[in-house]
Amino acid sequence: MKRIQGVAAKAIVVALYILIFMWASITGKGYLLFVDNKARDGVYTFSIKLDKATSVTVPAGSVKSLYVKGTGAHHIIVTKSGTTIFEGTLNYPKGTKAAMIDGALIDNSRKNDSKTIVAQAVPESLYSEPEQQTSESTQDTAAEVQSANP
Amino acid sequence: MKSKEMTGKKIINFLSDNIVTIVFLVIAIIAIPFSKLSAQYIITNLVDRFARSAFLVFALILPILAGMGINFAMVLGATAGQIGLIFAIDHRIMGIQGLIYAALIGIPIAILLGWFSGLVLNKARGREMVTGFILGYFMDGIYQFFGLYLMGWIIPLSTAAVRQVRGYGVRNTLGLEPVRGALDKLINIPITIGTFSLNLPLGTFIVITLLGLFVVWFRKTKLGQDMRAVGQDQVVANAAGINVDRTRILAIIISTILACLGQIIFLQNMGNMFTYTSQRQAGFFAAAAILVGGASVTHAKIINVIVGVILVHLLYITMPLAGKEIFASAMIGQYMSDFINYGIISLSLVLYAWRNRRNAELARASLRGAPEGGK
Repeated sequence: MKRIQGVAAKAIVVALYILIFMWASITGKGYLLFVDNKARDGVYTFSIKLDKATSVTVPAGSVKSLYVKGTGAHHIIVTKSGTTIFEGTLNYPKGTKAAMIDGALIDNSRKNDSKTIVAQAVPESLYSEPEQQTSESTQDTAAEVQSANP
Repeated sequence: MKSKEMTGKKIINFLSDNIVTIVFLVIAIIAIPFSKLSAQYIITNLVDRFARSAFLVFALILPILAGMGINFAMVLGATAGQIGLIFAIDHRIMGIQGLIYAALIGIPIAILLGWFSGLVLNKARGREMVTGFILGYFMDGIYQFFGLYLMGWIIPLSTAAVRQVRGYGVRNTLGLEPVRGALDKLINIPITIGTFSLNLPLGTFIVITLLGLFVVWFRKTKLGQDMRAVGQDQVVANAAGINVDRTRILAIIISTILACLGQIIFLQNMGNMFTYTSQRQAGFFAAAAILVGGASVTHAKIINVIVGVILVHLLYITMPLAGKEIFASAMIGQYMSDFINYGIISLSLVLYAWRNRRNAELARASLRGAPEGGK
């Protein structure tokens, strides 16, 4: 009887482990969103707040990467010098790993009185900067790590 | 006359038992005015840093209880936590779910590494600390091989920001944006009293409190009592029917799991990770903190963790600026806090050896003084 109880307890732990693992991977899945604030004339610094996340400032002439939980509709607030200039929905396209919005897209939505910005699917390596490395050779990378040893 | 002698002895005993904490407190008290930092700055930084590293230091209590000294092999647990975080970032699991995901990947690895570490430490009985220290370096090599060569080559990496530019291996520095502050901001309470304002990361403090309660509860369980018995005398514990080896292995496994979770909490607070070096700092910091808090390699309490983390961070906050004021160089202050931390570990180990010798001499003297054949 005790043996069965032990096996049952272990099975419950394993089942719980799998359930929590699946819950975390499904509900926490994040998607990359680039905010491009350099590809147009008359750029200005603005801040973006997505869902419940902290507001992120995107200085004029720069690109920032953010993460959003899940694809589809997200609440977005864009502020300029503390004043809200756009509040609406950001549509993140399905079936892509990375998407982009830029100042022009935000301005268009403002001009057209639209409450929706549709992010454009882009390759995730579009804005990624190469890692700072002196050499790409495997040995050199290992040596670099080794040299950091105390 | 006798009572005066007794009081003197009591004071000497108190000073010798708490010399490390007292020295540290004096240095911190001297450094605060020199640093010219405001109370608001020091307190907000202390609260943030306490939330960051208290969990990690708790990992050292159980091995000390089991008589295995400072578990420098906790680096293995920290490594497991980092592996979990690498996968969470690579699979882009965000927020608190990302931390849970990292923990669920890290815990089985920590159990395996803790079991291995426990087996080795049982073979090196009496030399646990130095063996644990070397085990950390051994694991470091395996982790580098795993991270630099196997990941992205045999173990798939799907995110470009995690992969090195050559196509395989994890980058030397990883941004943890998807999980940055996930636990700290879970329940964040802003406190404002007059001009003083503070953001209290209540979520992290609840987790730390729960861990403290777990330690208190665990000490009262059968396994906790067994650990204490093993820590006091292994021969007697064995004679009492306690499986000494198994108990010691369990102490190390639990410590490794806590180190894994502690490192995840530490890194989510930092917001970025030096993939191949972050784990190395875990062991030294935790050892310095618990020793500064008044623990020894044979005795540790929760209060030692709390006092130690506060004092070590107080020194880290004030020393660079105090060094700048005193020596006209912030770097000297930084070097001094490092030197004091490592010095504290050495001082504690020397004091431990000295106390052992003193107690042995006292025991011998009392035996010599006893009447022949008398009790």
